[in-house]
Amino acid sequence: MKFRILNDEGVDRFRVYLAGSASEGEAPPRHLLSRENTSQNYKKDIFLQVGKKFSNKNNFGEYLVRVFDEFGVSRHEVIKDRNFWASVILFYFEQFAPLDENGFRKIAKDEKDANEKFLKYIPKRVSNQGEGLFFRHLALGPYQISEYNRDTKNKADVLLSGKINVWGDDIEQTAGRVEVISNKNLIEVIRMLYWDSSKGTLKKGFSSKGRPGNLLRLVGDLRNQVKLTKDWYSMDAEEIYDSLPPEYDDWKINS
Amino acid sequence: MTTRAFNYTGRKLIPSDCIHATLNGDNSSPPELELIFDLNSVDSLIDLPNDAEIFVDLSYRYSYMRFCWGVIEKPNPPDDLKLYELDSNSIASLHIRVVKDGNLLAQSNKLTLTTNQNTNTGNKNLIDLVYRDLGETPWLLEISQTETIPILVINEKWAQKLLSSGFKFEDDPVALNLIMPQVLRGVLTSILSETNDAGSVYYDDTSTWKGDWIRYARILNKEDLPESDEIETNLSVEMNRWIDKTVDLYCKEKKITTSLVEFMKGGIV
Repeated sequence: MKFRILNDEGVDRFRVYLAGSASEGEAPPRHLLSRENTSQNYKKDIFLQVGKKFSNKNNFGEYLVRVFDEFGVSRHEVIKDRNFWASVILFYFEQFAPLDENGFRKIAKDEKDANEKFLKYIPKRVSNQGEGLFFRHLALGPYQISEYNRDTKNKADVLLSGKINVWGDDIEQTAGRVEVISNKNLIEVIRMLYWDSSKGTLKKGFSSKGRPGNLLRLVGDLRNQVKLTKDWYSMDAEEIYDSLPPEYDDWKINS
Repeated sequence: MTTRAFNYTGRKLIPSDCIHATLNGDNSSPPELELIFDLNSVDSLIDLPNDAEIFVDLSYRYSYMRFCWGVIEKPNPPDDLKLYELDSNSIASLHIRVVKDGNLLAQSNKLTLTTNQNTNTGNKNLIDLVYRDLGETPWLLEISQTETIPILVINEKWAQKLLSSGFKFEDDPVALNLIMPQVLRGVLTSILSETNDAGSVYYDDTSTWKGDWIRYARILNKEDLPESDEIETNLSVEMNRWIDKTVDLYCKEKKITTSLVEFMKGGIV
């Protein structure tokens, strides 16, 4: 189906739905994407597959990278477009906010944010010049991470293995740091330590704060300490892996 | 209070004054970096190994680019210095690093580059002044996340009393001198609490009050905003220190205490 994007009026109406009947299980207002007063054609033709199912964020991010490539849409064209990303969410809304067994939806809401309470679904503008959108968006986040890692062997699957309707604190702590998300060697180290290839998931306890050598310590305290004397960007994954302190030995044994 | 920083890492600091960097572009396409530096001319760096590699790192929010700049003995800038990979056409953070075998031997402080070199805030109004009955509260600062600029609300009873004494509130040096440093602190804290890189995000934002305030603060305090990619709910110690310094510089520029003392003596500076 040809992808259309919501205009400001459409985004406002989508927000009203999120604030009201969405949690009661009402079907998403997908008609907003076809009506002329609430949406418009995108400047380039993009066709998204209706009803396509995504098993995880990686699957979704890779799909968007592939489709945008096919239709000649670059990362720079779309990453600052709030309405574009709200429209992607609406297009696949049932997967971003699935019905539970009682027929309700859990709608993530940030009451403290005066700018955008539904920023998992409608990206928050962090500058009116359009210099950036809030990263913790359920569609923009996976797309950006997939795009940054498009040329790597494993395409950041370690960061995007979870369900597409979840953006947890562990991924936020990892992908939300420029010196982590931009360092492909470090992402590969994360994979070497915490990825269970047989299951295609992260190992149990990878983000448990009480466990030595956990992921949050690797990308937080340890990295901050190491970067005073080492340059992880110029070290390949094996070099970083070999230089880790003994607290990571248990994870290495099990890798 | 004097604070001393100790560097036990052996890492050298590449002084900012030996780096001349500009970002050229019209904000509609990736900007081009213009960068000149000569590490061999800096006395403190003369013992860097000849074969140590020089890297120029640029980042904007979650995007990053690295240029390999040759080695100390023979710097070799790339031909193409367009910042294709950054997610901004107008702003970038720059670090120069010298590395050998993964060891970081020297590093510059972060430099924030923008295509818009004019840092003046112009004559834009940074704050609105309104009067309202606030009960026993003398004043308060209202900051909205919408487009309106911050509002300084003054208790109308106070303002009226001043007026009856022949003063308009905005001309009363005591009142303003006591309030404005806290207003500056409140506004900066609010903006910088939004995201961990709000300072750089808003630096070239000429269309909102937040950009105006950040640029005004940077005119007062030339020191770069503390670098942090931590995800924190509260402002970092370094960020609070930066705000403290900015407020202190504001007070110095306005000679706040001198003005108050002189006023008490019967004259106004």
